[in-house]
Amino acid sequence: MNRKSLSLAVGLMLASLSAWADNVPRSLPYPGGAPSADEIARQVYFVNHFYAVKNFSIERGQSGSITVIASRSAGEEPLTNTVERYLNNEYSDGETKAKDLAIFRSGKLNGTGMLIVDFVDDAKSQAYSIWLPALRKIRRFAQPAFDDAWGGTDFTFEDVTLRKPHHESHELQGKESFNECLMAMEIPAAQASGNLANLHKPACNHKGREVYKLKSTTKFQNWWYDYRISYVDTQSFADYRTEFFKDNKKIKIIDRDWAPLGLSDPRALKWRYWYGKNLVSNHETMASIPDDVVQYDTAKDESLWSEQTLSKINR
Amino acid sequence: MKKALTLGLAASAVLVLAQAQAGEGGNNAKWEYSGYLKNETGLFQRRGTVIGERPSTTDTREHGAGEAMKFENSLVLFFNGDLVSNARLHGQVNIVSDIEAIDGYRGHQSYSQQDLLRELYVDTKAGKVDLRLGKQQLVWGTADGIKLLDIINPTDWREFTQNTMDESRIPVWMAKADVGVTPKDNLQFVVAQRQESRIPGLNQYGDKGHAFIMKGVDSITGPVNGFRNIVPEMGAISRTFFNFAAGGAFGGVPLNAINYMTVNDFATSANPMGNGVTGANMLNGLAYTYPAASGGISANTNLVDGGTTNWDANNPNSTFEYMSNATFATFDAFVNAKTAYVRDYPEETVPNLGLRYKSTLGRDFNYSLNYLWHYDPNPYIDMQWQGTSGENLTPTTSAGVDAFTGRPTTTVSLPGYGGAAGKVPTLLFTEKLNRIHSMGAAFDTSFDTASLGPVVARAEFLYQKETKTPVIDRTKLGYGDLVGGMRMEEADQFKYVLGADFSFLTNLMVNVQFIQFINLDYVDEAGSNGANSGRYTADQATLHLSNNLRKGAHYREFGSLFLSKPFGAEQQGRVNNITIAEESGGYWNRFDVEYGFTDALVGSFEVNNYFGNTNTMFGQFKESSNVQVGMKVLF
Repeated sequence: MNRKSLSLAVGLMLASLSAWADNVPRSLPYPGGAPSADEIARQVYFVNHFYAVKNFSIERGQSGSITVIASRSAGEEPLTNTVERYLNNEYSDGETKAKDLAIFRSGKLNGTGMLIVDFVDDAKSQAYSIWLPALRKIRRFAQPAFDDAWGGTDFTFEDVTLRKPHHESHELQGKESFNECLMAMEIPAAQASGNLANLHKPACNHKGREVYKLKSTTKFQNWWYDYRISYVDTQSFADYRTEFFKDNKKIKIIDRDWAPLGLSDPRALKWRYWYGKNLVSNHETMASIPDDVVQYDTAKDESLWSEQTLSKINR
Repeated sequence: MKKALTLGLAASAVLVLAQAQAGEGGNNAKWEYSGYLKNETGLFQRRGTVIGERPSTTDTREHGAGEAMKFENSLVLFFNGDLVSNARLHGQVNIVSDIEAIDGYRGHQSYSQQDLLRELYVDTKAGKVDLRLGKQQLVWGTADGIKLLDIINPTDWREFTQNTMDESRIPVWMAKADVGVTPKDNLQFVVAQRQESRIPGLNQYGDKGHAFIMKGVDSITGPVNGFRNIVPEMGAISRTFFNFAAGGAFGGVPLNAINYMTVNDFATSANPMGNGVTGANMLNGLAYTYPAASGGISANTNLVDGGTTNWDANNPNSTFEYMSNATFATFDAFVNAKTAYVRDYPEETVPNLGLRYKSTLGRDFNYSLNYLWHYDPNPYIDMQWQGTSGENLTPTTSAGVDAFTGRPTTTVSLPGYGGAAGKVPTLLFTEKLNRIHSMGAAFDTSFDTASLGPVVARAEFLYQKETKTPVIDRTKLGYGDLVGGMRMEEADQFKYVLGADFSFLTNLMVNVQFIQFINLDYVDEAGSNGANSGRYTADQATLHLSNNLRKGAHYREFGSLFLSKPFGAEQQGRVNNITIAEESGGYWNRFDVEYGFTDALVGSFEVNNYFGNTNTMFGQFKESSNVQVGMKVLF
């Protein structure tokens, strides 16, 4: 019963399921006119779930490049993992909303795979099936708790996948210009090798973009945050930055660097990186996704998102 | 034949490779290599003696607390290569050295967790069929930490249940075909080489000093309590009494005619040989105290339990106490008896065959139906008397009357033997495999609860037809019929596991399981002649001279509790604790921590405690409780 790396495996899932809204359909139209706070939240959910495309994946690039997740405490050298991920949104059985497959490719998680099934029924918890090399079998796990740390990163499972719109009340605080570069993990030259060699630098191309300032207040009692402020692109609904507040003190920031996929829908975006910082502990996390690993609307067979795929993972 | 099958499967894999290479020229093959260097050092927790460690009843050796039981260094290399677009090769090479292990366990062993070539297989596709061909592991079932449906690969029990399943499972040559009938329905066909599990001590050498020999195995091959070693000494002391009788010690009556006096009569007599010495004292002296020059045999095995006042046939703990109703005439049959241990395995022309149907009901109720027609990987032992020329001997019995008690006696004879010149009977221990049917089912599902949040429930069920289980006939053993007294008989078994996962507090995963084994052909027939009578199914793992050849349970229950929680700023550490409890009071508790110092350097620490009733599956390893420290460098 060796599940030493389980939480890390679950946690490092580069989930797109950062839920923002109730049961947002893939057919959600682009809003006309001035959207409400709730409508903005739904659009952000649409973007984060890559609903503009049938499937989305971050694979291993031709050059061997791969998505790197790095975490570090203040003054320490980062620990890293590498991951491939495959998301499928194209289901019409009335039960399945999306399936998300992740395969870890380095370190002690090497060979660990995970299949997460998100259901149309919002009240139904997600199903987690994990291929554990130490057992050589697929094991079902319960959906993690909302406030569980996402594998040692600065994201909680709530941030990544479990937060639903009805868990918060949303208030639009207006529009403004986003006038900062996004933050990123700075790696000293001496450490910039291996997985840390090619992390993205701070993104400044969003400076000057017009954003909605959306305040979302949690409905949970005695929660780890009281409310959060998100800065959401008024055209693409990309959420560039989210600031978390507890007792009116900013405690955490998550920055997301987005880039267009080049489709007609402005909401068709891809991640370039996520960056998170705990402002209390100064702990940092970065998920850096090379441009050449992103694929979308590919002709992958649906059988890829199956336990059969998990059981074929080799170390 | 085994080699032939192995070579055949290997050749198939190579053929696929060759075709793949031919089709693609091998130019586009991309090879990946990874692996790790690992050291694991294990220390005994407490001072003591592991089962079967002492070479004689008078030996007092012990291991000390903190003494090394394991110093294992290993290099594990994984390699993967795309041969063509639809064929991928995977291999795992293991180079292992454990300088603290006993002979035979220090390095490479074929078909073990220290096999140099652990895995070598090709994944390919033929139409809609996924194929995996080669040496591999295949796991069925949903249970944690216990193998019910996980029976396709045998198990290396060298550290009992301490090793990870991945390590302890023994890969075998196999062809596996998966067919996706529908997106939800999967059919799997398996043709697998049969291979036995590795059970410490269950071989002709006995593995003396191995830390994880079960009492049930010690009863077969143990240096003190194993009948493999007891019988020759019984043969020697039978020769001594044969000579006494021939010399007139019993009034000129030859040994084969003394059907009126039993071992118990002799041991409880104040002066059985007219020399003023009590029977218990004589027996103890001949078996232990007296050297050969004085007519003794200086036995190393547990013939009698030492001392001159310990004789108690109602609470037996030594061979002669279990055979208290054996007449002296019976021992005539054992004069000069020897033992031999051989393997008689079936040819591998008939491999193991398996079929699994897997599907989903509703949203996420996953289930499987499984069938395996296979050789039970756990070997069993048959006993048979053989003559000097290797011919089978059929013991006969004859009736008499006990001159001391007036009760009837039964004398066992080996016709044509019994001290006859040049006639040496051999008790042959034959290790065999038994072909059985295993049918089972498994499921897992998740559901939401108000109080516990999301819960995962899982279960596994297994019905096994015609397994071999030990049945002890204490009546027959009592009068000296060793073969009839300790037999492996067929019994059907039903086993199941029910389990559930919960999450509590922050990141704390909790798993509980209830496990039950039911012997559907359980035997429990009371005897009418004290302790050494009756017939019952014995506990295969723990039956031993020291525990009244422990009776098995008709219904046997276990419970397990597993806790797991990450720690550290990057959750680079994880702490786990599992407790398994047996219904009869035996426990295993394992506490372990793993910590990633860097991306490439992982340390581990584990404490394995076995405690409680020492006549239980886990409790018997009390003296094997250990602490292990490990370091792994990934590359």
